[in-house]
Amino acid sequence: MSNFLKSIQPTLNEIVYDLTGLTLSDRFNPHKKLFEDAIIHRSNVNVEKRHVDKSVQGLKEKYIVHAQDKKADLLEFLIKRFNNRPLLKHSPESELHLSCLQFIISLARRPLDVELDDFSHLVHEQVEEANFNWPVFLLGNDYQQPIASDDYQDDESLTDDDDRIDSTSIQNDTIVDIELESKPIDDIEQQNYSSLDREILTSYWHGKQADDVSPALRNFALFWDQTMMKTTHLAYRVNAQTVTEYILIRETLWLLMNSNELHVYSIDENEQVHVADFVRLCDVTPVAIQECLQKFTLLSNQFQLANRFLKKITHSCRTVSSFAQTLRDQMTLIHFQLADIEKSVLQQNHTYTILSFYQQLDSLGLISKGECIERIFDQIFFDVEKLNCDLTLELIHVLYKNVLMSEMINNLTFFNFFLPLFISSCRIYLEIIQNWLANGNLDDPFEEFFIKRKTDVSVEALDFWHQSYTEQVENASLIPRWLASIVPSLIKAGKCAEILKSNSVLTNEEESQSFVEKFSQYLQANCNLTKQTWTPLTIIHDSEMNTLVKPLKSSPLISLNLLFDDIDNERNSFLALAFNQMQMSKPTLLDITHQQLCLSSSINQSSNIECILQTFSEQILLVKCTQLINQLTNDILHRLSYLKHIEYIRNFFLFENGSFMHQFALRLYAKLSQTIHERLDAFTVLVSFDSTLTMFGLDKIQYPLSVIFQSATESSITQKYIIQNVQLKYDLPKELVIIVKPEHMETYQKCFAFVLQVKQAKYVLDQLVFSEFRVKNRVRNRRLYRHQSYQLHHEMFLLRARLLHAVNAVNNFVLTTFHTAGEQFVEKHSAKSIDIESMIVYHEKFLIALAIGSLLQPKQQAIREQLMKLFEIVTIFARRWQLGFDSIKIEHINKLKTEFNQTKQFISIVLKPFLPRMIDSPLRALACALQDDFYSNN
Amino acid sequence: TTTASESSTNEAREALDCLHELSQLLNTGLDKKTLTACVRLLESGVHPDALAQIIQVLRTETRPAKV
Repeated sequence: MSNFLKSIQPTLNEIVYDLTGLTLSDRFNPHKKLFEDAIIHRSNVNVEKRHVDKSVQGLKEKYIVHAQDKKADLLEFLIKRFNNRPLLKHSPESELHLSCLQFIISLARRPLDVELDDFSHLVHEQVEEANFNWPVFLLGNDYQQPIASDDYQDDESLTDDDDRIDSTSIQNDTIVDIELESKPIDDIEQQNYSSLDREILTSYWHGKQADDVSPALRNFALFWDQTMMKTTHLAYRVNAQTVTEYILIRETLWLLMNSNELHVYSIDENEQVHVADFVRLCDVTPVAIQECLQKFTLLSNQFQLANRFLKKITHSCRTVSSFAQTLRDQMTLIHFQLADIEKSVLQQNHTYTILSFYQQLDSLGLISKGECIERIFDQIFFDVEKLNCDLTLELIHVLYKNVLMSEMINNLTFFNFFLPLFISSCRIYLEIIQNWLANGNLDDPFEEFFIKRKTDVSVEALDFWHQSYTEQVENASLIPRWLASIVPSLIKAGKCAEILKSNSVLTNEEESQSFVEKFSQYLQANCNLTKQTWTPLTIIHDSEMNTLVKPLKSSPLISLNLLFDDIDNERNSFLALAFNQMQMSKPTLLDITHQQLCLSSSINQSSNIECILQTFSEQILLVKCTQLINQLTNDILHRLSYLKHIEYIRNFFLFENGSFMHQFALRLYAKLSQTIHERLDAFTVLVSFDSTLTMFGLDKIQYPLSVIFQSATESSITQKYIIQNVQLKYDLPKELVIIVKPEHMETYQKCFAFVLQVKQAKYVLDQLVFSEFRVKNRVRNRRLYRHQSYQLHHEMFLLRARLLHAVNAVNNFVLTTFHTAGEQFVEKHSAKSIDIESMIVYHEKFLIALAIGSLLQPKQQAIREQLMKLFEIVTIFARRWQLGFDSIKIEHINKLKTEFNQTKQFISIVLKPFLPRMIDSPLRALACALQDDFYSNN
Repeated sequence: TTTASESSTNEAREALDCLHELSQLLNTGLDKKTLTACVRLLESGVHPDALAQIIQVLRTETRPAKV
């Protein structure tokens, strides 16, 4: 407290000096205790308005009781005047005003004794103001002479003012019967008009800035100016520096309706124009012009953001055009609301004030709409160079974010402003998605969609499924959640649609509703949105191309067919027509607000916008995507008989169902064993194939399988007798190339070649018999058994057994691997969740398993080479055997035995790591089989 | 800004003039200068009744001297 006293001490000293002549200092302050007691005692007591009002009322009654009514009136007048003025940066009617009033009343000394004559000038002002008919004079009809006060003696100045007013008053009809002929204006007004440099503004409800406004509208503008112009003469009457709030309202309305600037002016006695800095309001509530300007120019600037954006006729993409269309509708609605205010202002029985004007702007939500517009243009920069896809995504993201925010804070005005903009921005996406899924074509000429189709990857390309579509945006996290959750399905469905289209089997329900309409329905039902109708994309696009902006009749509640647009009808009383036909009345707005309040207070939280959109995307978009994916899946499985073809491939290439291929192979092996020194040729192969077909009664032309023999360009020394270069050719439908690519067929080919070689080795070993040691050669045999050739036979037998064991192990490994992979493949395809993507994946996995079984993997290269060597040993051994007993020598057998041991040892070492594995696999079985060769030590 | 400062000065002057007129009507006996100082004190947070009490006491004390 002492600090506070110290701070106010200098002022207290001044007062003490003024009242007592004493100069106080720190060392001399006889009133210190008084100050402390008085100030501290009341330091926590507030000044209450009701006490002040009570004191004032008491004083007035005192005056009245003592027949001093005029003093009471004067007191009231002065208090009002004082309260309506700002005081030391405090706004009118502040606490400081109350404190001052209480202070003065507390110090009042015998107020009844004060002579009124000393305050005659104030009395005069008070009487004048009390008697002046402000509303009538402002509204300009039935103008009445001000009633002079009876107490006022000197009427001269009043007479002069009356004359001035008389000279400028215009005899008007009532507002209802408006005559539109040009009214003559006097010289003063003409001068004022020109000195203000005003333009006749085009009609705000036309929505476009055009020079060719109708004559009726020009007249209206002139009439408005003329009617309002005379209110400036009020400045003469009251104060040279004041203007009326009515002018301010009028000027602000024009400003908000996209005029160039605010004109607030005053005209002095010398008819000079000055910028007014003070507004005297007719309800005696003075407000500084700067405060008004601040509020209204902020709103005007916010609207200007939208207007400047809408002035652009062409936009970079359709999404922005659609957004602009809806924003234009919103601005048109705002203009209609302002026109409604203007209508109210012209009404006779309504006194408009700045405060009521601002309150009406607020109640119609215009202040909030200005904030919305500012938010949008703060968060999105349309003029910055960026890709259309990034711009549209950013636009949707910002609008969606604001929709969610407005829902969260339960601000219905914000919500009703942002939601239509959000919907119109999303519609292009939905139209693109619709077209893509319906026609298999991603039609995006402006590249505004966040998914892009790579044009260099055709639908028949091998990498179509993985490379055709990509997300092309810089920041994919901006994709709204309700859309992002279905993007993988969407891309899959789009690919399916394109494939189905190229297969000429894409079907669509002809009567299906567009996504945009369903989107609107979802939101209309849950958010009480007015029914939206959409201008087709082509029209938007055409209007862009023609650089014309046509007023669009998007909603019956927004657009009007105004009769006064008929510029030939000069008798068109557009004022009455226009205002009477406006349909967006306040009760309608109130109804919408009331309903939405009810909805928002509902306990059921699933009605919020995010849930609605999520539901839409799941029930509409995702269902359509799933339909397309299923359509392709069914087409592949049923019409193209995909699994049937795989079965055939397994039968032919992998010897799964061995009858046909087994017979064919046998014929080849048999031919080879007959021609000891020659290899296979094309003729032999074809003849063998044809004879197999004949055996099974199959038609060569209709059979999907055929055979090719490619002559070897280089002779292979190590693999001289093994079957090579026999290839199968299978006619697979070209639509299945999406799953079974040509490189896959090469894998099948390699598997077939390997199996053929394995089976050849097995066959040649199986065919080996000691035929020459049969009955007819019994005598020879007896002789042989007595010789050392018994040992040779024994060695040959043993070697054959060992070779057979090894070859059987390999055969088991290969066929078991193939069969297991095949069965797993079939089992996976029996699942209900199968689709094209999983079919591609399963097929690739199947091929990997086959490659392992055929030892085609790079890591298995060494084993494969050794197996080829093994097969070569087998075939050489078999040929030796067939050459005859006499041509075989023990050295040959020993050499083959040594090579076999080396080969087997190498393979065993390579496969040794598979032995300790717990899982039984064909490879482990092979490793075990080659490991457990009892004769390996021999 | 010049216009703004001028207008705010005008406003302050007018408000104080109005208060002075009220003060004269109620016969408080305060001149403009003292009244201005009092307004400053009231703006600082001094209670109006406290200030009125101080002034009354000061007047009471000085009355014999003025007489």
